[in-house]
Amino acid sequence: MFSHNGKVSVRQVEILLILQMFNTSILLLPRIAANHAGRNGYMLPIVALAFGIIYLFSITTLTNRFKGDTLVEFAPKIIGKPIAYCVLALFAIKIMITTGLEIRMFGEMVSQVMLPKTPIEVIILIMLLTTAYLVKSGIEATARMAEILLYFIFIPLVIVLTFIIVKADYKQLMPFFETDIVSVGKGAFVVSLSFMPIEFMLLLAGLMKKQEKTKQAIVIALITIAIIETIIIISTYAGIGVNESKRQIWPVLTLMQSIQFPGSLIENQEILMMTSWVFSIYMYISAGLYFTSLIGSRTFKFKRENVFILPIIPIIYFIAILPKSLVEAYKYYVGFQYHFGIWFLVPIPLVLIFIAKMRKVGHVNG
Amino acid sequence: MTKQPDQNTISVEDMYHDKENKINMELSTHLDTNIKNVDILFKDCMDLVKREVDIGKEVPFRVYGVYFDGMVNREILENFFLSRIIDYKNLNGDIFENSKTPTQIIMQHFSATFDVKEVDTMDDMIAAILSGDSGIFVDNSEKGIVIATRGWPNRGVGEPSSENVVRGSRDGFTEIVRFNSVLIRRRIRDTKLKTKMISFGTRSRTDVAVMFIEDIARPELVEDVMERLNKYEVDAIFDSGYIEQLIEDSWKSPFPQTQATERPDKVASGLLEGKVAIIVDNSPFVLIVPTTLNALYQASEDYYQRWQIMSLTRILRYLVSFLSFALPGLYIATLNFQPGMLPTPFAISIAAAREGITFPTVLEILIMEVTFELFREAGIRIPGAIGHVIGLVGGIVIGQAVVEARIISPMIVIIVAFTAISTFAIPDYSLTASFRLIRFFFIGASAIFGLYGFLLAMLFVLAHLSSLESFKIPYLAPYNASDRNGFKDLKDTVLRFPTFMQGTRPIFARENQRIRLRLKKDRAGEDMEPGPKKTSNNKHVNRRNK
Amino acid sequence: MGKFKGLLLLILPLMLTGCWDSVELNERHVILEIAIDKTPKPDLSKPINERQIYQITYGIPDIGKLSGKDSLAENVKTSLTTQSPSIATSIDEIETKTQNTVTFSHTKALILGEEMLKDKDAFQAAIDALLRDMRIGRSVIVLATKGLAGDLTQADNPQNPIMGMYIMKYFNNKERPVSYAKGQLLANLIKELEDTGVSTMPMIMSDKEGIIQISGAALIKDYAFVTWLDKNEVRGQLLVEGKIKHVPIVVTYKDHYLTYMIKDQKSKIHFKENNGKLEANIDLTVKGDIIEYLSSNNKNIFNEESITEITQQLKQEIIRQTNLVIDKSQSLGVDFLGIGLEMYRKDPKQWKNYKDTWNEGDYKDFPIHVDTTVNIQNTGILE
Repeated sequence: MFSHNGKVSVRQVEILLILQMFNTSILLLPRIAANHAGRNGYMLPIVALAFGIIYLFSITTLTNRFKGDTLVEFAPKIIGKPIAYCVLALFAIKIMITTGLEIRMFGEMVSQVMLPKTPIEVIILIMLLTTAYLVKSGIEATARMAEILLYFIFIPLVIVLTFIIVKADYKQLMPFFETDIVSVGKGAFVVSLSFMPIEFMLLLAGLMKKQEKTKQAIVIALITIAIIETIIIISTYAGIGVNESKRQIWPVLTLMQSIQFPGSLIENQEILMMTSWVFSIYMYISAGLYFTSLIGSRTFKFKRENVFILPIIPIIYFIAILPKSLVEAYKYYVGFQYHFGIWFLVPIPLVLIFIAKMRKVGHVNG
Repeated sequence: MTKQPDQNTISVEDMYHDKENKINMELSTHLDTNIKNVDILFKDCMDLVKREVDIGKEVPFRVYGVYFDGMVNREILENFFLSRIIDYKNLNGDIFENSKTPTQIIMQHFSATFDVKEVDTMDDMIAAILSGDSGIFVDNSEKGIVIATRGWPNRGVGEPSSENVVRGSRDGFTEIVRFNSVLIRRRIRDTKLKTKMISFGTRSRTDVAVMFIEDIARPELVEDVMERLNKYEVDAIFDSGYIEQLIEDSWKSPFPQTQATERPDKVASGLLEGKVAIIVDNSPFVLIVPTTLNALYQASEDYYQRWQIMSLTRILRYLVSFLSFALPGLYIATLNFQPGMLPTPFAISIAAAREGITFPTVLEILIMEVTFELFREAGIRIPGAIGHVIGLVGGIVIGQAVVEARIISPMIVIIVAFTAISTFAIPDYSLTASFRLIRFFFIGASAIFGLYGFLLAMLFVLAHLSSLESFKIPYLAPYNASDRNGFKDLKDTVLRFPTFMQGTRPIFARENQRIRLRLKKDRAGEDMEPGPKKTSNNKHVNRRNK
Repeated sequence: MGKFKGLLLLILPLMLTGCWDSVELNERHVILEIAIDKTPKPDLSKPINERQIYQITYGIPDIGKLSGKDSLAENVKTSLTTQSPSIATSIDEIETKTQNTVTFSHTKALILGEEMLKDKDAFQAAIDALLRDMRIGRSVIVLATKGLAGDLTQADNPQNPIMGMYIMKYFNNKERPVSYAKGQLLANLIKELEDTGVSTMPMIMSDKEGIIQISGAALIKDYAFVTWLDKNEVRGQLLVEGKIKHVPIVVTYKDHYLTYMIKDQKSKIHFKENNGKLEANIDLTVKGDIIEYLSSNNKNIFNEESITEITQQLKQEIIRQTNLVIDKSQSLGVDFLGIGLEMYRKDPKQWKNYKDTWNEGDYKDFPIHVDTTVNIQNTGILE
């Protein structure tokens, strides 16, 4: 029944993807949207869905050819062991770097809002240790935790967004449709990079119980995140204005600060919203940690998956404390996503599919 | 100081008992040998009653009865057995037919009770005697007779002490296995309710009964339970708590992975969901496995009262149990790290109340928590009415005095008293113990890192719960794997949906046994047995029915 | 087990000292209002980073006295003033004079002095400093005052000596009529200044006995002070923005005064071409009751003819009040009514023609018409 075979269900995959895509990029999103498309930035996530579908197809075509295998298993089948291991190593390094930068950005935010005097290394370290505690129990525990955290993350968010939506100044969104198509296109591309966690599907698809439903799972996750992003951008614009969104580094945080609950039960409730944030970042970091260790353990064919977790923690920690300031960290974060984010989403899977078709490897049941 | 046995003299115990403490003497056909063996084995046992009776008239036919004084119901033994033998002696008659063995003769003619049996080995004989039956050794026979005469002192069926209800049955389990299984069997009058008996503990030979409903419970589960019960070889067990800790999945976790209850209706409803009950002799607490966190929040009364008020009660339970471990931590986190979160007048009044208090907030909370734990422990041991009064008086008076003396601020007293009482909102006692432990963890995390620490502590606990399993069922089901049963399990969690909507069994049961409630007319015209709906893919059904 | 005990011993002192960020609540001074002024005679010979241009007054309440308990302090409020080149150094200096450490998380009011408002750079820098560090929340109420803000906060107000609490309670009250002053949050101020460059903040003043009055406004353009608006002009502004609530309007009807209470008001601005020129039309819709009138046998108002006449009178009065502010704003050439913004939102193509010269001259001559619809719902319980 609930056997320990390391498989996750379709619903758990959907939830995992949604929570992983709900990371720091969303906090920065209104700023990016305002910078690219001004007042019409809320359209960007919808247009970005188009890019998302492209990523979806490129990845699922690849994984559906090799049902039951993760990237670690089918890459050698396609391109031979040495090159495959290089690709895998690159993938692992990429995940580690993104995770490290993500946790650094998160640490900066926590440091600013909650614990100004605590050294940021400590904040990052205890977060890493807590995620390690979850990840050592395997993918099934992680997926179950995601299901639980879904409630904890979205219910406070929905409550707060309701308050914002009711009291907001929608005139900020006018005039409509002023921006030109090129900016919208570029902006949509940048926004679609927030869908980057889909690349985890290269590994996760092989762990699904009903792998034929991969497309459905990803589509649902994409649409949900696009809708959430649009709502957040609209709320931010209406709540604090487009110009402020351009100026602020964390516009969504500023938005949360500017709400006033009636009856003043809690003041300064942006701190309450940090709960949603801490929880969703937790899932992202756990995923990053888990998949890196998965690549490691499957490459070396260890039975126990959590052998690699302990060695990876110092690596991610050092990547996280490498940037010397928030400015640097921000630059690295956005820059890295922009330049390298897309590689494992489209080019490498497409190349692999092409080679696989040429060499006639893998089943073609679709 | 351990006494090393001399090499020359081996004790009686080592000679006649094997490694599992079973007696490896033989049941001899000579009565004198048996008498001697019994004397050797039960040397210095003055509470053993032995008597030899010669029931033969012309030919000597001796029997030797052995039983423990106080453990037998002497009426059965003497009226329905011994008296018949004595009567026979005074009567005439030749009953010694050659075709029957001596034991069979005795059983046929001399026992006016149904519950007699023959045993082959000395070990069985002695075990029976030690359990309160009477053992009859017969001359010239290779078997012995055991008469069920158990009649030891017991408490009788009373009210469960820890789980009270306003509406619902008031009988609770007692210390006798048989009574307990009877209470369950009265509620489920189905042939498929099976009782397996195991003897646990080499010295205590405690009777452990495993009850389950054969076509609802998963066979893997039953197998797993039996396997785990046979895994350890223990000296003795005195309570189901021992067994609980030996068979659970994760000993490191503070959360209970089995449910211990004193109420038969809880056990019966658990069995009908596909769970397995473990009844342990000498323990009024019956174990139900597997369990989930949600199950520990369900009280029997929830189902006997109306759904609106009971849904509200459930929500209250969850809320209050969250507060019971989170409130002190949250208090420290908001007060010391994020005072901006409180409304200004509130913050001002708390700050004013804290003027002049010497200890930092963390220390205050720890002192008060320890004090309350002290009261709780002391209150358990003080007898009767005084115990309740001391608890009340202690709380109020000492709380008041402590505030006056400016050691603790009044807010802390409120918080700690609230958390202490709120632990009693949880139906299951072991769970409250886990929350008491977690509370300290949260206090520590919040004291060092404020709200961030609090959130990480919550994540830590949630991660722990997510990876916890009870007999292969995730501990946080049905919040977790709710799509297994089509989200129907969620009808009985935080809110309790009306009774007619609770038509499906939860995931513990077999896949083809999911319907437990439906309108009679929905089945009219179909020739089906009550219970499972015939599904199109009957592969599971066929395999099970083999 | 030994390792575990060691770990526990390590954690315990950490727990009790709270490491880095833990400060007991009664070890913080909760500052409820900040008054920022420009130093009356700053020494301009010093370089910028040493020039003490900010004179900031902090009102430090005594928590004990505030809650009615016994306390060692003499007054319920102690005011401390510092002069410094920047806000952060001011806080630094304050820390040398206070018993506890200061916290701004509960600051309710920010009062700015007139001279500070007139100095564009100092004003903008102050706002930036306060927001960048996230020390005070964005929902702080900003007010302007004539003269020195520090004097205002140090004055003894008989109702509530703590100015911050007074202001918080004043503006939090939802029952209060919105008549002569428009509350302004810091966040809104910034938003409006960024959007259009023009914003207002309510004016606060106190008289000799210490009674505080909040009415009128200060007009700010591009972070520089323009002028004071008196209460009637603010009334007009509120009418144009549709924010009037529970306000009485008095007209003369048949030799007696008649009071009409506006319960609810809406305003809509739209633009129309008229003889080739674009003009703005402000439509006000007003709902309310008649609450005061002296009626007698031959002059009661419970008939249709009277109602129509009264309606006309009210229309005139409301239009007059609105035109007051329109004239003022056009004479100043500063569009604080949001007309330009509305044009941008509703008709962006037309706005392109006006955008560059709006503040220079176009607004001055832009034709604006006001029209009103007055609904008298009832006349009270007397006829």
